[in-house]
Amino acid sequence: MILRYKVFIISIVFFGIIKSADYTGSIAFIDLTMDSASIVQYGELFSSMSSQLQATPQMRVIDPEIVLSVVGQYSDLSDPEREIPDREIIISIGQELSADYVMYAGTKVEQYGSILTGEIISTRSGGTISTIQINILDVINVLEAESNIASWALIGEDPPYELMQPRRDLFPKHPKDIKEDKTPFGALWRSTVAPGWGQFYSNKRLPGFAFPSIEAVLFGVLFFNFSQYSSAVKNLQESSKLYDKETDPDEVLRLRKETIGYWNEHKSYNKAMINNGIMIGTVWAINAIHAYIAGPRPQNFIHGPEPYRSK
Amino acid sequence: MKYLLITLVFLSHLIGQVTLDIKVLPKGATVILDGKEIGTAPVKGYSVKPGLHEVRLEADGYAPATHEISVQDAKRLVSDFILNPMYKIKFRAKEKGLTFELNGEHTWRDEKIKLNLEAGPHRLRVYYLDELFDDQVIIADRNAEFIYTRYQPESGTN
Repeated sequence: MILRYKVFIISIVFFGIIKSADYTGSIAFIDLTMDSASIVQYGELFSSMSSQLQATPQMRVIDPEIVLSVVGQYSDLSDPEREIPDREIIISIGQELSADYVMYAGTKVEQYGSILTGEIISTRSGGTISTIQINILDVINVLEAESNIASWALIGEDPPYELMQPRRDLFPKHPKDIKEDKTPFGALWRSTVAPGWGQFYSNKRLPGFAFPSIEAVLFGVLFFNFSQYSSAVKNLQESSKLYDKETDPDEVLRLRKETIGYWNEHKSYNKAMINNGIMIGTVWAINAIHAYIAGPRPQNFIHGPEPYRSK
Repeated sequence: MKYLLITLVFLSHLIGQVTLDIKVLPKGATVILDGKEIGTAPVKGYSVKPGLHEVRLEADGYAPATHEISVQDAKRLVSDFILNPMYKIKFRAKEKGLTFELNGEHTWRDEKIKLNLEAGPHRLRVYYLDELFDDQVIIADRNAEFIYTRYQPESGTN
């Protein structure tokens, strides 16, 4: 029974040691591409990092100028093609700086882009606390954003939202998260509201003029047909009234013929108006579909080494 | 004695393990560690032994990625990964007779082709009459149409 208690107590103590071992001390940020020209930038970066870390007063960030002077002993900073030193050398730099942790970041230019490698290492145990390895396009800004995020791994907390935002902004976005200034849908609804508007929105001037012009002509024809129809209806009503009142057989025949003429006329203009309406609707729909198909989509023009084509 | 042994085994097991946190952008990506699916990102508090481990990450609409992580003796290791999205690219050549080669892997002669490309730079080589004519890096950063012409555009165009 006593042994069981001992086992229990040993286990509790052991867990206690593990859980209470917070990361505290000092950290040196070693960017192996750093040089004196970039020290100002890193100074600013460290100022912001320090202020963030002060929120939990556990970590002291070592002055980047002091870091640079030690890094210079291990790496020829004037050599633009210097290689990333071994892990042991990085740890040695950290130990020489009396840092408890080193955070190093290196960018490796590959055939199709760059790969950023970031790591936080304990100089005492040599153990890695945090890593990041990503393909990147915008080296400097990503480096700054990721350095800030990585520093929070030391505190053991999730980085604040405002530090995560640069990551979201800098890394390639999923297509559904990319908001284009102009979209085919934007052209579609514009042309649905007013023919040609979507085409102008897409900088398609010719169809932008053509569709409203066609619509204008069709509306003109519709107006003409409507006026003719109205006139035929009016004449038909008057003629039919006269026909109803007329008693003279010859006049009745004449009025009958005239009324039938107006009736046919009103029917044909009515049919013309219906066809006209269908045409207006069809052209309107074609204009909207065209606006969508010819709508603005991202285009990248790339060209070979040939000089201008002679005309 | 028996309990002591059990305790020692228990402690040695605990001492030899490192707590691994895996964070992935986007969240919800499937995390496969050394060939075994261990959950969806973010994975917190997964115990691993020190040494080299292979992490494979998969998410819909993103290019799968495989990274090697070196787990050293430490209390906890936080690993951050960011997956590259895939973009739909329409590639159109304005001249005939060109052969295109992308990243040294994919070759085509069609004037129009649809590609699914991982975000980022890709190496494009162009052959004309079977001779290397152009060698450049194109960057996929959104769903887009790439229009290739052998000739430089005149200033003010494009």
